[in-house]
Amino acid sequence: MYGSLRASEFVGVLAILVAGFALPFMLPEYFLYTGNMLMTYAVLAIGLDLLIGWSGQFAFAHIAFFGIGIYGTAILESRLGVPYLLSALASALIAGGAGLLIGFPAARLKTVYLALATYAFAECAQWVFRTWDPVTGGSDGLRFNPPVIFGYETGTDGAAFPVVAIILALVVTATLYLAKSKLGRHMCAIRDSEHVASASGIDVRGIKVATFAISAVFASIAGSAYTLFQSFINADVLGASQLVTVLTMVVIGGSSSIAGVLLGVVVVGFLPEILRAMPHSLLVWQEFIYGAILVAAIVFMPQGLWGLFRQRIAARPRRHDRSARESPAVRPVPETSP
Amino acid sequence: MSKRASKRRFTACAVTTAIVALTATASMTPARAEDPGITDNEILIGMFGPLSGPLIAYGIDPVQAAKMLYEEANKKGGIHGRKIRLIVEDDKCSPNDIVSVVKKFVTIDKVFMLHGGSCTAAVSAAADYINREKIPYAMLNAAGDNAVFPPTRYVFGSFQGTQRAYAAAFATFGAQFLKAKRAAVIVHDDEYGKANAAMARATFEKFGVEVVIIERIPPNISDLTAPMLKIREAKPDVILSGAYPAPAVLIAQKYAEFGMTAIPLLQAAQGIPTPSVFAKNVANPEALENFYYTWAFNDIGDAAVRTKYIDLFKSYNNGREPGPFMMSGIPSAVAVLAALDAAGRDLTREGFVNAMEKLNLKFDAMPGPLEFGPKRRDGARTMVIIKYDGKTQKVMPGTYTWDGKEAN
Repeated sequence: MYGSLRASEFVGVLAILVAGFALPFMLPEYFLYTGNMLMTYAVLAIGLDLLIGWSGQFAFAHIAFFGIGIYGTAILESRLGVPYLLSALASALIAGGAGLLIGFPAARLKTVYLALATYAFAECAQWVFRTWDPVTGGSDGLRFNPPVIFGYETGTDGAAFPVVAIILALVVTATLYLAKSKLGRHMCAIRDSEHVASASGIDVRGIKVATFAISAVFASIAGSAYTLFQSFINADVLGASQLVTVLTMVVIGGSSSIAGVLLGVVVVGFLPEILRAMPHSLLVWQEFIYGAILVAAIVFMPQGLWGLFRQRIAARPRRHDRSARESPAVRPVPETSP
Repeated sequence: MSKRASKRRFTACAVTTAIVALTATASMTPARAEDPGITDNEILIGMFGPLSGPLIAYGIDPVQAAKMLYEEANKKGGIHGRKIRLIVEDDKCSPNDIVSVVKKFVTIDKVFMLHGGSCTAAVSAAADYINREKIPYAMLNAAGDNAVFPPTRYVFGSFQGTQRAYAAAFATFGAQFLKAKRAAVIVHDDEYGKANAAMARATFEKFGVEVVIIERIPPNISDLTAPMLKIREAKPDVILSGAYPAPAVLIAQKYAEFGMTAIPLLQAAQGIPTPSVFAKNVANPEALENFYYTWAFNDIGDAAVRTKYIDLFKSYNNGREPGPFMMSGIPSAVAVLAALDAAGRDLTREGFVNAMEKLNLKFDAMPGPLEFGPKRRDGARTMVIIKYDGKTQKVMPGTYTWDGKEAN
């Protein structure tokens, strides 16, 4: 371990758990549904951030692993009667295995070639979900029953909310540990310079493959969480637009930071709910607004909202510290606090 | 009888009477007090459709058309003294968005019923929740095969025909009117295409027509060369297409390019949202020499019907000319108004659902009835066939009705 986690770093995890158990008693189902979706997106986005933000791999197969998590859990649990937790575990293993499989060839690729190869994998996976009728229901979609976990039946948003919160809390905790681990540091080293990392004795290819697998497992866990409060899946949900949504969350919030990703999820996730209340004559501008926000985020906040916030905070004491102001900018190591 | 026994009997009688009276009172109390979204002078309906994004054309005019009919009903005093109030939201035709909108309507706005949805997959995603919460729901203009087969109590849809109805109409037309013996079918590899292909095959075979090839293409296909060459090789004497607008244009172009114009090309309605735009995009008059499409409305053949609804639409939309999908917003609103009327002043959700279930409604805009039943949730099954040459639209003789028999 490279540094231990402070107790204060678990405040966010604790807040997620408290909210998970308290909010179902306070909010109507609509808000709980939105919360469930946001927490699912958070798990998905944290997984994508491991690849893009932490290890600098522009890979776009993430939604395919999300699909494996949804279909895997739904089919095993609902059709074959496998307990939910085992179904989720099996789906995560399948997704992790698939992540390893594409990780090996993908680790040799960079930049646009990596993006295209992984995007092609995602398209293939969507085609399989859409056409493998006997298993996935094909284009008709797949209807599934609410999971039962040790006698606790989910299915309503209120019942699913604490379970999804626990899943998010576990994923955030795992990522906090990962950030402090040797593996996490190696990921960052590869992101910053593969040559330097390699010269330092880091197994670049091995770390990349491991990152692919971990990221795929996170996406699959998000898929399993999705089955807790939804009852229907159609392959249309697992297309490029979903990937763009998750990518936007990571970019706008701030990559290589758990807090940034969570902030991005909340901002981008709530945006459609807010824009939906716009006057109808303005609704057609939604896509334009999304695009404008994304461009503005890239131009004015290259490290996202969280990066901007941290810059502002960091700038304050430096006003009184001339020497610090004159020191060259150093890219910060990943932020670990949630 | 002792005084004590008499007193006991009196007490027993009094308790029994009280229980009976309470039960009777409870059963007579209008259940509407328990159903949200109804007051003495208002019925609240949550309406949704794609009002932004790439599928906006399927939703914007149908939503406006339905709204105008509700407004018209309000102008006439409402339904049994209650005005209809609408809350309209955008669902983008996305399953996640539609579930979100539906849950907002039910738990925040507390609507009486739901009316909306232009895309089958999205509607299907919300169906479980709607049935669980027992909210009456009328689809706006989604074909909705997956959402109405198998039927569920609270979901009513397909007010302009399912893919089953389109395919059955075309196959019947091909076999009986065009006297086809060998049919080719080209559909998408999605739920629309699946339902369309299965019903086309079953209907063609019923009439002794051999289905020589079924081509399944993705909705985002950009080159139809290979599928159309395969169809030409199969030597059909009629081609049935269930494609969406962009692939439908490509199909027509290749059909003309490969010299297949002697074979009638039958295109399902979803591929030709605006006939004049379709003809312009195909940009080859030869492609439309032998071209037909399905239509679920009377507006093309009956100028009075067309004028009536277009003028009404323009009066509510600052003179804006509607797109052809406007008509698809009419039937569901007409059906909802009829069922609200039939359910009476003591309106409840269950009463409304019962009224919808008994609906057998004929009106000027449609060639056949809108009909539901205890085991039927798809409303329209009757189509007309339009011959279109790029300039004029001609309604072919007769109407074509799906008999409701499922393809095996």
